[in-house]
Amino acid sequence: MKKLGKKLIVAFVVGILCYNACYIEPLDAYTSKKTKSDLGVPSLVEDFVSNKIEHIAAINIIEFLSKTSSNLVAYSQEHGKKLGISSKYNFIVQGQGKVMAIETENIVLKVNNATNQTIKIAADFIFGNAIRDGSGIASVGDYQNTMDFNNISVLLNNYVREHVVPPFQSKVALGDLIEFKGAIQIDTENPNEQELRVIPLLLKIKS
Amino acid sequence: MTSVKSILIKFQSIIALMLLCVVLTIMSDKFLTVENSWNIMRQISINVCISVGMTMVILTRGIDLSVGSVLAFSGAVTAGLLKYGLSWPMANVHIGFTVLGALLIGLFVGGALGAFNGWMITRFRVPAFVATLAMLTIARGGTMLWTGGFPITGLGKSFGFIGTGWFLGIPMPVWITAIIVAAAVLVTKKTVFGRHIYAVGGNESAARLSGINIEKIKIWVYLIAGALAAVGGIILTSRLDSAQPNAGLSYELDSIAAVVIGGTSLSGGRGSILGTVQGALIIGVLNSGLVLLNVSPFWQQIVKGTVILLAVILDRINHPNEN
Repeated sequence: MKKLGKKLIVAFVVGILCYNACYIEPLDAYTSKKTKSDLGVPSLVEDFVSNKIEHIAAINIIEFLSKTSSNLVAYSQEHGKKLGISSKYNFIVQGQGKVMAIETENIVLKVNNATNQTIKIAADFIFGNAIRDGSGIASVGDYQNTMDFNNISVLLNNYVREHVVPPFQSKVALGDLIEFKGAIQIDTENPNEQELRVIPLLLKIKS
Repeated sequence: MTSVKSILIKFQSIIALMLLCVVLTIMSDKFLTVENSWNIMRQISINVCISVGMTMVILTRGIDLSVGSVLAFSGAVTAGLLKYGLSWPMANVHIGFTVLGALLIGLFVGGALGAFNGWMITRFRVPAFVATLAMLTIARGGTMLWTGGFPITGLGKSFGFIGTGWFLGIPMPVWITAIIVAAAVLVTKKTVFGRHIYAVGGNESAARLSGINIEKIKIWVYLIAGALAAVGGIILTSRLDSAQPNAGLSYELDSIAAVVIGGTSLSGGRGSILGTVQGALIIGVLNSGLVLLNVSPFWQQIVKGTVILLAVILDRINHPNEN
């Protein structure tokens, strides 16, 4: 009798564990949930640059600078996007600024007349994952092969290098008013060593 | 004089650890900080998990060279099931797994591979060195097949909590390791099974004649070693938020080093779980200290090897009559 009781308890525990361990669904239903990886990296990037850049939500640069200067870590954790256990948070920002300097690698904009705050718009050395991770175009979980996931950044950065920066760089002059939208990355592990550099997605000369 | 010597021998690992800590504290102001202490504890937690199982194996006069590969395979299986589940096209069925389900299967896989090692060793009399060496390559190959050679990433926050979360101000890996160590100490010191482990390692023939089922003890010991390697694999996968196909490479050597430095005899029958924890701490502290002192990684390997050699020589001097 005692043995039977023990067996029943064990069977009950195993049953509870199994019930909470897995779930079954028809394969058709599972495969019909299209993942981004089904679309293929080039198509995903093309769709993003053609249809989504204009509409993607962005933080106003003045608000961003003000909030990050008061508490960079807390603000990043609340509003930034990061990959896995990384300490680097990514944001999409937008705003306007007056061209203060045109350097080989960056274009320096004064974005706030009251505080004279400046930021840099990347014009060269466009690398990293700020656009991919800041925009949320895809998450690492969407791809079985991490090379595909990394290629999203490669294609996005190529797009900026080839289609965003060159037409703008040929026309921009000191004193121009620029409207921009782009991605920015912040490392919360070194909060005092930030170089605020926007990888541009959109650049327009307003005047 | 004899009593002083015996005390020094008994506490040699703790004395070595304390000396190491004092020296590193003097040499680097970043060593003795709360943050670095937690870092060391988190880093050694995986090695401690594996080494607890390895201690039991070595206590029976065996060796398990497959723990690194079993760790990688179990971690990959856990990650793969969690992320992709299992599909059965013939029946149009997809089985998805919760974190609990993936963990249970990961542990089961580790335990099963360990039990297979034990079965090979006891049933076919394959030397432990050879049987586990074979499993090392089989499990590594299995990991490559399962992952396709690519990392499995993006495993979710709840799974990530196991390796990166904190509970009551203490990192989760440290909690898991502490529970495993406590259970292993209890099993080896206070249970019949624990006494049989020592008996098998001390004198196998005598143990057999006294009625101990040697085969059963050995299979269980290898099963536990495999399951604990799986725990290590799950912690590592969770910490990295990805299952890497080449995870756990040469972890078996770090594990054996921790066991040996902790005073467990490679001849079996003598040693303790707490000694192994001290051994793992010595390796962890040494690693951390050498990094903080900017010592080249090449020199770090030489220093670690020398420490292991010294530990074995010291053990031989203290126990000259053992085989």
